[in-house]
Amino acid sequence: MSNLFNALNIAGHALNVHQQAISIISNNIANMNTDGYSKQRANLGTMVVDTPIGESVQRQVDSSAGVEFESVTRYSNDYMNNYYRNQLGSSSYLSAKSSGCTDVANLFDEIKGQGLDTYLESFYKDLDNLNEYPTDYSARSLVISDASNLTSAMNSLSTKLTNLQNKNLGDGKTEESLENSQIYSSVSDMNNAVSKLAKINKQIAMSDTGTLQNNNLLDQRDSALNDLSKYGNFTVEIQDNGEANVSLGGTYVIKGNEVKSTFGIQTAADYDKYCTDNGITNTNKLNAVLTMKLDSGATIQNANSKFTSGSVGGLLDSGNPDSTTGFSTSSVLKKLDNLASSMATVFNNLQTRTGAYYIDNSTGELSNANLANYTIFNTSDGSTTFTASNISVNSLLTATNGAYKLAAAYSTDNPVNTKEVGNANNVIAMINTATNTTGTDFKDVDYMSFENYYKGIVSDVANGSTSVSDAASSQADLVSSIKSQIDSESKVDLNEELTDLVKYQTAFTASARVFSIANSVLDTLMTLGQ
Amino acid sequence: MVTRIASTAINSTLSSIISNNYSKFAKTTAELGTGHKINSILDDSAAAINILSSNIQLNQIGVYKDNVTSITNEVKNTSDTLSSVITKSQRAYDLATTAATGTSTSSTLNATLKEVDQLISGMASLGNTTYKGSYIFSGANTSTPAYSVQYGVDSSGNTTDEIVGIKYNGTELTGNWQRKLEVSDGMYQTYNVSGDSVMGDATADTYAYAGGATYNIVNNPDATEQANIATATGSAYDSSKTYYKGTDGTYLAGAVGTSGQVNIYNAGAATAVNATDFTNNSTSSGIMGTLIKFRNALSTTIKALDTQSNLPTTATSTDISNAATAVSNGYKSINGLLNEFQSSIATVTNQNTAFGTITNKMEMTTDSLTNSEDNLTEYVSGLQDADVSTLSTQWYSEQSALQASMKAATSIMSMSLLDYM
Repeated sequence: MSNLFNALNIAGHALNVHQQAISIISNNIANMNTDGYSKQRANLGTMVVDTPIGESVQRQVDSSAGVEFESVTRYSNDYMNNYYRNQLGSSSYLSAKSSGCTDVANLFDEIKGQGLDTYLESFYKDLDNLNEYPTDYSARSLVISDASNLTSAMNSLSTKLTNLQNKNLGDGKTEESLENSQIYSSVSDMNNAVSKLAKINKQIAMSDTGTLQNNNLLDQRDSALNDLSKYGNFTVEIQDNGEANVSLGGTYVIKGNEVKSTFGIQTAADYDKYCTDNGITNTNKLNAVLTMKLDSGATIQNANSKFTSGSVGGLLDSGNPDSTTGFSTSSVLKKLDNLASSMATVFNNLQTRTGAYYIDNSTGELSNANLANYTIFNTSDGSTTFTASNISVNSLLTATNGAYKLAAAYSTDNPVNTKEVGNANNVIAMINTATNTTGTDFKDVDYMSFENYYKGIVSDVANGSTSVSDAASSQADLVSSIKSQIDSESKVDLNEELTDLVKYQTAFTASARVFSIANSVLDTLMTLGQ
Repeated sequence: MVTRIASTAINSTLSSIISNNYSKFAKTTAELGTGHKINSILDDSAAAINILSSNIQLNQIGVYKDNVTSITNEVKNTSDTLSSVITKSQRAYDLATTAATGTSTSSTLNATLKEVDQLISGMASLGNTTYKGSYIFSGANTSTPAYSVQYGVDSSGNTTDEIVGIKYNGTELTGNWQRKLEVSDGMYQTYNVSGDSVMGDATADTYAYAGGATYNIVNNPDATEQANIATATGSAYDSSKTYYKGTDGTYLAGAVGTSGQVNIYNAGAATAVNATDFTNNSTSSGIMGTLIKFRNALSTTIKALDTQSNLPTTATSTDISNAATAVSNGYKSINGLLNEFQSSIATVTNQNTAFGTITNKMEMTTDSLTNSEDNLTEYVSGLQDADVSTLSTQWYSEQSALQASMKAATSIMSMSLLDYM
């Protein structure tokens, strides 16, 4: 009789256990498309009641108590997860760099014939025309007009590059520009991710290991860690209780459920002031400087060097003139400035040198009176240094009859034959700057012609963009491959769940049947002797 | 042991495959649409840079070709002018040959003189030929007529009809006379010739002041020159006076080279100097110089013939002898110019030959440039232009692959045990 009651108990308990197993399958199926969800599996075990040693087999059989729910196993591979986070950081870094490089490359519209080289070619072509017709005013005007178009194109390109640079890291001077920059929002998002992870750690600490709730929290933890790794090269240490300690460059960011450091950002100008006030050598070359405020109260004023990976690392590198990955916007700007500076110096020196003469339109003869005032290029902001953003054509040359002031003639005769208005030797010297580049005025453009130097800039941009883009694509494929591998191990497989469902459903049905039969037998026994 | 593959992981993989196939299909579609394989520097960085370099070279070749055309056209124009110069020179030579026979009368020689004057004017006019608004024989003084005919001045300072010189006003051979255009990298071709080197210079009335400047007569000064004279002399320009302009910007007024004193004027101040301190530096070279010498010789011979025919019946034998000698000398001087004529004509002919060489050189340069242009154009086309037939085949292939991957994905993703339960 007692065996019947035992059978009832076992069957009833089995019904409960299989119900729980089915609910886990239900949870798996419900979350089969949830990003970051790891499949969970019910671990069932035989429930054993302790029997004294030496009891008979029958006694032992009589004392077995059915099935019990032992634990819930989470399908997860910590090693692969860690590997994935490392590669994800590299991918985010390359993706940020690639995006920045592509934005810059799209500004160089050379293939469609709308780039700076088109204006350079036109300028030299019309210099050649001026060589043939040095007294013709329209030929002179064309050259001045080309020079204007060229400087406008340079100004425009410089402005666009500067805007791109500011979009990433701000302008290095104003808070407003910094707050509108990409890195500012990345730092803010990074701090949010850190806070979120700390809260999850706290919940993990309070939950029991091996339970549904604990497994769900671990999934959230891994998801938060993945999000954080996209920003930088954070080091993760998983504790025995499931909490994740996170550090960056040897400095703790999260320890247990405490946020140990908060990220901040300042302009290069503010950092420069800090260095000056504290007697520190300033080696910073970027427009933005990250800070880490520690819970001890101290602040790391320049944490840029800690970010060698992640999207933040990529954004910082995009403004680094010494970058070896692709190129930096600041290095392109610098080369463009060199081009402007060298071009202005070369042509202004030819225009105003001793022996150069323009045509005095009142006499129709050569003159060099006040020649020093008639440089071809000036700075639009009055600065003595030429850059791509401030180079412009002297307004005296663009004024009415101003083109006569272009010094086309060159003669060493003393006195000069003022009727030599057909002398175009100075124009020839200007044309020769396309091939003869040995003078010191060409030092800033590496003793190359202006067209070749600009072509070099375009080449650097094209090659750099392509190499970073290829690397980003390759890294993205690797990350995708690792993700696929992780998903294969940890994601829900519908067929698997359905198989288990059928299995537990069958067991549930069978246990119910056993319960029903045992109950029926008991009823029969109860009616015996009536 | 079979590796576990989750169905949701398969879905991600299938999605990724479709995305890749679509990306390729979209790129091929864009290439077909534009007809270009390379639409930006990111499409193929190496090819893009090669295209850029090639386009720079192509543009430069275009400039060189334009220059070669300009040179060829102007050289032809100049050569045609020189042919006309040769024709006129030949006529002058023929006249000199006839006059040198010693059989012409005074009236015949007068007629010859008139024709020579016309030839001189015509020669000066040829020397002042323009091309696209520039005087082609002026060297770099392209806005200044190369030659001006100089007329004599009588004792009252009035200009006469007598031609005394053909002054060259262009850049001298020793100056920056060359005009040149670039026909290949760093290579320039000169396409003009200075008038004084090919047709010579016959400037009359040039005087060098000892230890000072050289003074050229100012014939028919324009308003600017009159103002300069007024500034230098301190008084208004006087058309009855003869002025000379110095190479140092000072001015002379009056007769030089004879006796007495003349004034050198500068900024309103006058400095008196001896007229005998001036040396006549009139020039005579080329066909222009020969023509003036011929004219002068004709004039002298005519005067000698007139003197001979007007001798009084009371003339002495010495007078008769002297008159005959003067006539003979006149004919001899004309005869002495025949070789000079030939030499001057040869100078012009040689320059024409040189222009012919330039024309041939430009034709060869054009061929070479055209070859380079064609090769580069073909190279750029190979880099940039899409092969439409190959691309079309590729497009259909990629479209099929895309459709196949979509169908396979649809089929695989919908398969599960649910279908059998």
